[in-house]
Amino acid sequence: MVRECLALGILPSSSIGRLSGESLSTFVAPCRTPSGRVHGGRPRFSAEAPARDRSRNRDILPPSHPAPPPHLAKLLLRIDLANETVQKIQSLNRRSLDPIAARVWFALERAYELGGELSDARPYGTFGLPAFPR
Amino acid sequence: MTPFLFSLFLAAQRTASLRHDDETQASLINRLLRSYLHYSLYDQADKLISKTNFPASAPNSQYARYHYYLGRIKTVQLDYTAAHTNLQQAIRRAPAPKLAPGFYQAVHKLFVVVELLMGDIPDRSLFRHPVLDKALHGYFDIVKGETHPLFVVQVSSAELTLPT
Repeated sequence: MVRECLALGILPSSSIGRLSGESLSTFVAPCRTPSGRVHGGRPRFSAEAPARDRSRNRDILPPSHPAPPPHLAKLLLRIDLANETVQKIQSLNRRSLDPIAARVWFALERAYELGGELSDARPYGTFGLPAFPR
Repeated sequence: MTPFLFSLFLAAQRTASLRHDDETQASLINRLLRSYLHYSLYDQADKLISKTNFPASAPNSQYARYHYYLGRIKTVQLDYTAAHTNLQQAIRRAPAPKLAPGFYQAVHKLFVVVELLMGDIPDRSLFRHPVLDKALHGYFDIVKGETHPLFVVQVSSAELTLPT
């Protein structure tokens, strides 16, 4: 969770030191590296996410679909990440996650807003996004 | 935002209000208002405000946004007195000018427009503020009487973009 929030840019990396308590340790656990060290700074989520992206959208997109430009790919990953984090928060169903949930919803709306502006300007706009009715 | 996303955010807002997740609810109301204003859906935004209670324990940052959006809606509804009050609240609750200059400038632009429309002359010291003097340059010309007041309409429609 902390890793996702860092990647979404809604939690400064310095705040890790200020967070404490048992709730944090439960959420940090899946974010630990094999060496047992907690991820610091802004993690690179771009390396693992495209694989997931492709498998999920296989039925929506033809395999010959051109790859989006890097800045758009990053934005789409951001939307994906915000979506996943929202789902995770909803499934965890914890009241203590309220302040983080508020920021994740902010990130989700902001990412969609930027995506919407881009889709107006470029034909790649809907790449990787589920086909919502307009 | 697509209709699907609007329903997603509205559902989340209902859940948050039932569970008394105040911070989430405040954030979601602001997100929804922002999206409505983005698409100029002022009636729907007004309906959302009348049907929801903005949580009293929301953080100042959310209150500042809420009052700004409220001020915008009231301006469009030509209720300048209410708009003025809301924008004043937004300015009071806003973070330090150097910390969030974009928000500070956007609120003050609307504030100056509303004051001019009410027939008041905005305070001159406002235009000398280090964060505002460049952003409000065109508005200062109107206040000084160098530009025709009709210019205010053009300026407001061109420059009043939504701050995040």
